[in-house]
Amino acid sequence: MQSQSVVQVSALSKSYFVDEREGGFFAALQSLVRRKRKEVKAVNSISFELHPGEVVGFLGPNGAGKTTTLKMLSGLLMPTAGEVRVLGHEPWARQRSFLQQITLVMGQRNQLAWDIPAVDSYQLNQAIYDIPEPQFRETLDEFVELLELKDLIRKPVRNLSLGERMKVEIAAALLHRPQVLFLDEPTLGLDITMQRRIRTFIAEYNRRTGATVLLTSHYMADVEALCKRVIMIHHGRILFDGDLSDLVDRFSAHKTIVLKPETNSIDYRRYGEVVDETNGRIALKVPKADVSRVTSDILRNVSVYDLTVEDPPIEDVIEAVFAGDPE
Amino acid sequence: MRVLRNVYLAQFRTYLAENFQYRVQLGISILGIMVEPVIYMIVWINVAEAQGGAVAGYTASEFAGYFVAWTVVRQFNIGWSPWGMEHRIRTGELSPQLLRPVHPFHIDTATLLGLKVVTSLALIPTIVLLTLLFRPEIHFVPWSLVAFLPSLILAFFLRHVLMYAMSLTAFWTTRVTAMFQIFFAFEFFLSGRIAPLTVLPEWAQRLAAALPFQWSLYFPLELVLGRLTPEQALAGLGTQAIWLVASVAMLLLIWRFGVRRYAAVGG
Repeated sequence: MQSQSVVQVSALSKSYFVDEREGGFFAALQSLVRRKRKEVKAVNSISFELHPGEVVGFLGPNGAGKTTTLKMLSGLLMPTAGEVRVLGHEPWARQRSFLQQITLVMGQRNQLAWDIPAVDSYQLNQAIYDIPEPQFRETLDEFVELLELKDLIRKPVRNLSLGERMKVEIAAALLHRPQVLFLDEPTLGLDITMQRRIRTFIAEYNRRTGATVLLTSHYMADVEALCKRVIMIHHGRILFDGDLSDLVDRFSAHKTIVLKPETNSIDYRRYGEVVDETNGRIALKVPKADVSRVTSDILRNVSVYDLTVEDPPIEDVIEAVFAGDPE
Repeated sequence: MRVLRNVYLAQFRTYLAENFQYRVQLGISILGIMVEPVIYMIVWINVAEAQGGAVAGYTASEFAGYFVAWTVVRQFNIGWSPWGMEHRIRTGELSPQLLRPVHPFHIDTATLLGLKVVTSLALIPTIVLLTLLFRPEIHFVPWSLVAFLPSLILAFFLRHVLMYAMSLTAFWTTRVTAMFQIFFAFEFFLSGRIAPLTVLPEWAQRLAAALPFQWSLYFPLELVLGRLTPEQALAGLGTQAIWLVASVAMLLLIWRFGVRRYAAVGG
């Protein structure tokens, strides 16, 4: 099992010390002499493994420790405690052979030169990563097609829109065909079409190369489309690590029964909590254990046009988990 | 080595592509290159004339020669701006550069070499113009001009590596301007920038001799002007090389601890 995982993280922690002071002139003066320092545990003893070819969603509210973890995995940050191995390397050593095989994409970080077309920066990357010409051509052609970059890579980067820039950035970050991708909010601030394009591209890259992907996103659509497995982190600790479908099962004790009755003369409160009642459709929140009994009760007593049983929206489940209030 | 060569070539090309599109900038940089030496030239020519023709071994037209040669060496010894590195460290822009399997120093150096090509283009008309305006007097010595070439290359790398190393102090404190200003103040007076070192008092000349600054400006200038003996030239090249090796060692050391700190406190 050991040798099969691409990323191994065990008891990984990262603490920062931050200076703290009250606002105002006197406090500023005082801080010249004496400073109060407070330890912040950004990541607090987390452990997980990623297997080859997996696409895993790394979820958590702002400040949960996602970016800190990604930075430790890619070698930008030195852990305070614990161990990390990525493709057998200690990321922090930033050996050439390690850096050749990974990439970190951070939503708003720009690695492309601003005033020249992206294709010129791509050629620099070709030199930096020592990509043989045929492979470079092939990969670039592939990316141009998948991301629809044809006209974009010949324009100065500064003339591109935010979404277009993200596309050319992602292409730059993957030109060396890394085996491990750390993606930090790759779709942040993009419109729906552009989000979908990037999502499809990541899925396609994963399918073609078998690369392992760990991605953070605030858009559940990204996670649902790409990730079978999710890891949820909050206040630096892992709250959940498993299949997305299990998350719903485990953290939501209720299902929603939606029905459209022929007549509307019954009080539905005896079947469950009425959470919505619009356009003649009624939504009832029912404890999971009671769903089959309540459904058959309703079908026996009420004549309905239509009845469905639904899981709660994934956003709601996640929100509930983070609120420390699993249903 | 092959990878590094390709990186240098690629970044060099990228830089040229980036900068050749600004024709106006080229015109402005001719003006910018001229302003500083013209001011010194006018001052020292006037001083020399007021003192009866010569000061500290330089006549008025030799001062003109000094500053015309100065204009060339100065363009070549421009190193990496420490404020650029400070900005990168403070904003975290350094992070993506750390993730590339090539040290940022190489890419920055290639950028500077590209800059040299661009400014060389502006330099030629500048030199012609200054020569027509100030009638400089330079006693060219052929062997000295040959020695000038390696001294210019060493001058560039010495100053560039020193400035790069200094810029890395931004790893420890993100407000490093004060430190840079001290560096540049010393350099200003002790490198030959505002005048030949011979105009300085004895003690200041001794101080200059103990510091690296003159080796990236004054020494190559003396070679152009043919003011050194072959022995002095050889010793000078040796001193440049020693300072360069020391600066590289310092750069590597500061980098090693600096990146460690960057990675400890967050990028």
